[in-house]
Amino acid sequence: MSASFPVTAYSLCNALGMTTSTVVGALRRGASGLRPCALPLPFDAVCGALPEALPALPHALQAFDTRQARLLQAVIQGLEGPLQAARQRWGADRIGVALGTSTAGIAQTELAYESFKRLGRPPENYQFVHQHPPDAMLRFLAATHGFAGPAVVVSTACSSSVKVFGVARRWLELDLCDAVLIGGIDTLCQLTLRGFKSLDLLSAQPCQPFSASRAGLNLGEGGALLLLEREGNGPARLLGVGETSDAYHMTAPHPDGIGAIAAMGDALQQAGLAADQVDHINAHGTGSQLNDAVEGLAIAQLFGDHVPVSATKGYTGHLLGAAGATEAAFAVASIEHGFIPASLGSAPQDPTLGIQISHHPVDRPVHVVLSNSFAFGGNNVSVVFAGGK
Amino acid sequence: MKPAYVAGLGFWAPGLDGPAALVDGARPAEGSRAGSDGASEPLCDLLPPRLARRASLLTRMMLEVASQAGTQASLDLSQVPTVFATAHGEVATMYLLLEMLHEGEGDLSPTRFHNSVYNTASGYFSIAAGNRAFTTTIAAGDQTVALALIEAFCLLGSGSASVLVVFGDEPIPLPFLREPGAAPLASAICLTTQRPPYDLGVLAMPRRAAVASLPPLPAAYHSNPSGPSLALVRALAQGRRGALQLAAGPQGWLIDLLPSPENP
Repeated sequence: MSASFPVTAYSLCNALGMTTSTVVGALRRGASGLRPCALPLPFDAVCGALPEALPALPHALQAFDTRQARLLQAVIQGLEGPLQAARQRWGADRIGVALGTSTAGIAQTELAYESFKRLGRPPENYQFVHQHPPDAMLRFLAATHGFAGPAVVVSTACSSSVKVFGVARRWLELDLCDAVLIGGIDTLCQLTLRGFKSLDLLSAQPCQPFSASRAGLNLGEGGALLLLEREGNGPARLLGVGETSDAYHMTAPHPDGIGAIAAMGDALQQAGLAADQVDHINAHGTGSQLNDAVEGLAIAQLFGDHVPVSATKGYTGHLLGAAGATEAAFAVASIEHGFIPASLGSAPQDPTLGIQISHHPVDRPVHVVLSNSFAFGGNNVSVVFAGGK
Repeated sequence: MKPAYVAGLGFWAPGLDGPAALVDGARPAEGSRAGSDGASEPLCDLLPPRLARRASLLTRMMLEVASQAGTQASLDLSQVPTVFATAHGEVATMYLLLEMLHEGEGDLSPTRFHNSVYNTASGYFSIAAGNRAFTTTIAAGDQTVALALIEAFCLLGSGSASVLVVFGDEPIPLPFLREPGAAPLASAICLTTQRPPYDLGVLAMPRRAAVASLPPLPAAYHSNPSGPSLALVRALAQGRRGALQLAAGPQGWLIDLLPSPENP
């Protein structure tokens, strides 16, 4: 069993709402944030866009102005109190930052490319290094908050923002810092929408994870930030992070779910828990034919049909680089408020899966939750959270 | 955090092949072959030709240096945990996709799309080497090399016996820069907790320091965010000792190159 650390606070912003309480309220009610996609596309798509406009950045931070940075600014607002307390307790040089993203500022680079094609140059205010790469988020936070511990971005496609839990745990265990701001931020853009379309993975209808009639995924945008500290009181503790590879294919999961099973097994082993001690699983559950089949197989092998499983991409769409942290925060919210969210879109359930899908929202005490994230490259991550001190 | 042994090194840049080339410049080019246009290309024989054909230069040079370092360290490439580090990721592939978006119906190539993720090299390495262990891909701008080494030390500190760290960045496409960017380069360092057969020195975990400037590099690599890995591999290949700058600034990073302990 490894050391465990408390999640002392979290903040969410996605298609369900602009604040944590609206997001968690909608999740608990079973209300979807998916809508027909408003971006100009040559095909029909449903996506999880933010329900409101994002406030602009202050003048002094204009160099960083991207949708990504505006979203980061919106999400971190919900954490200002806990961050202030952490700074007073530990000092700014003992606070690290580990964020995940897959899109980074690509939405802005798409606009810059359009301008280049039209005018022969990118817009005057476009600066690749401030607006495109993942570390722009780190420099934005250094400017706004001045955290001086180690700061890094993990970019492993759809597992990016859950792998940061592993980074943070190692930093705390090995005493590199006392608190870590972790999370993920991704925004909608042409490149991912059309890219998933090219892979024939995008559904024109709201996604139906684990359903017999599932026909692909929807993309969404959003951000989640969590504060993991050496000690303190919070809604849940991080107990384990399993990180494995399939060594099989860039986009298709290993047909026997080898990497997924190993990731879940490693996370449970670190947590010192048996499979029957898990109360709820937040599945990766994208709604794609193959991924759901293999994840179902992997869950069934470890847990049988004893544990209620929900996929939450029917609420938010697939948040890609922000999915892992968002669903980890959903897991923490389940523990904090005592509920298991409905797996939206999962009915009628695929009868071949052999797992227990939670079709309706249920209020009940939840102690231990496991959350899965699987990614391009055959990258698999499972995290385990538990309530209590 | 305990220091770690350096068990293997890898390096590739156009016309500079293998860490030895950084020392005497006279070593035959073992890690390269001539491409269709006559330019020097990474050998990358780890990747099956079917996958290599549509892999980017970044992916191929990162896999080439991973092989070099792993071979020198006599590592089992199917077992070693890996840390891939790239500040700008698959920018050339991303640029191709932007061109496709703009042309005709705006259809993207599915292969190019999945090859545009930052963890493309990590994924192909895992597939090519049959490696199901831990792998990650990190980005931290001009601190990328320092943070990748920190991640490697954390893995060693958490029970891994060895870690393969692979760095690489390719040029940013010109429309996005006001002047030509840096030349491509990739390098790799294999770190172990036990003394390896060919011990190339000992590294301490990078430490915070105010750093005025980075070690001098050939001009072509000045603005390559993976540049500090070239300086580090060169210093290790030369057997240098002492502190080396990994990231500049008031909150920069230094790494200490230590002498190997005396044989017992």
